Amino acid sequence: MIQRRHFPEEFLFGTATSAYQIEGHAHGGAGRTHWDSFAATPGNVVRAEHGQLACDHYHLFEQDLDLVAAAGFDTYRFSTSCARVMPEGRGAVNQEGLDFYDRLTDAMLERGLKPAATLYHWEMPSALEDQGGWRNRDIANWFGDFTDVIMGRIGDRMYSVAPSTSLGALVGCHILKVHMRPGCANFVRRRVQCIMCFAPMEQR
Amino acid sequence: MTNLGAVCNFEYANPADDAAAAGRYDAIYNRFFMGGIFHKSYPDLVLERLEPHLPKGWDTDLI
Repeated sequence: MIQRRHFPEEFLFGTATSAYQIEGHAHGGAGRTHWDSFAATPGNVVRAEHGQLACDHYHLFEQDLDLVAAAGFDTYRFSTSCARVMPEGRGAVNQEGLDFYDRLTDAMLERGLKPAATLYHWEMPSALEDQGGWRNRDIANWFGDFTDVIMGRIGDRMYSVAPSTSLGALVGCHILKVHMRPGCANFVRRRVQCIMCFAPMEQR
Repeated sequence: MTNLGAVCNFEYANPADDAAAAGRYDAIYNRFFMGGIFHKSYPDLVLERLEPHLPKGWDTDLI
């Protein structure tokens, strides 16, 4: 059986989550994400399920992190939902949202977990999605502004930060398939336009 | 902050009968991203077919 001692001493084991899948986006003054809009549209999701409560991580994060620590992990990768921090995607900041990620960060450090932030794990504010989301090249700057705000608050305690999760899957599965509907515009063009937004964003 | 990275998900394509197609898949699915991040350019195999679809001004993104 493979055991931990078979790995180099400096090897880090980690586990990961994403904001919308666990937090419960109805709480803490978060704005709508495209998942909320999607789930609220009849016929899109089986049994009309949604992420309003999800795993209630917003309230249970201390217990959740206890489990991560007890499992023996070194790092914990989590995502910061833009709509929780800036409900309209741009402009006004929701202090409750910043406070949440601040508490979450400290709770990781208290348990000896290295915080690894993902700035975007597929939780697009609906207000930005309405303006094209990843298909609008202005998003590199919108996300840059969000990054300044969230990392201005918790960046001093991060072990690592990544702009987005799973770039290939993001473009291939998420942006195209979720939004693919009859009458949807040119598939190839949309994919390429999305990828074109990532390179400048990753460089910023 | 210094420890910044990207999270990429790569796929390996085994050609059933057309190695060129597998190379194109690798270019579009994997190296498209790596090229932008590490080389400030996109692979020729990508541009060969997709350049007409790129948005206006794309070649000034990576300077």
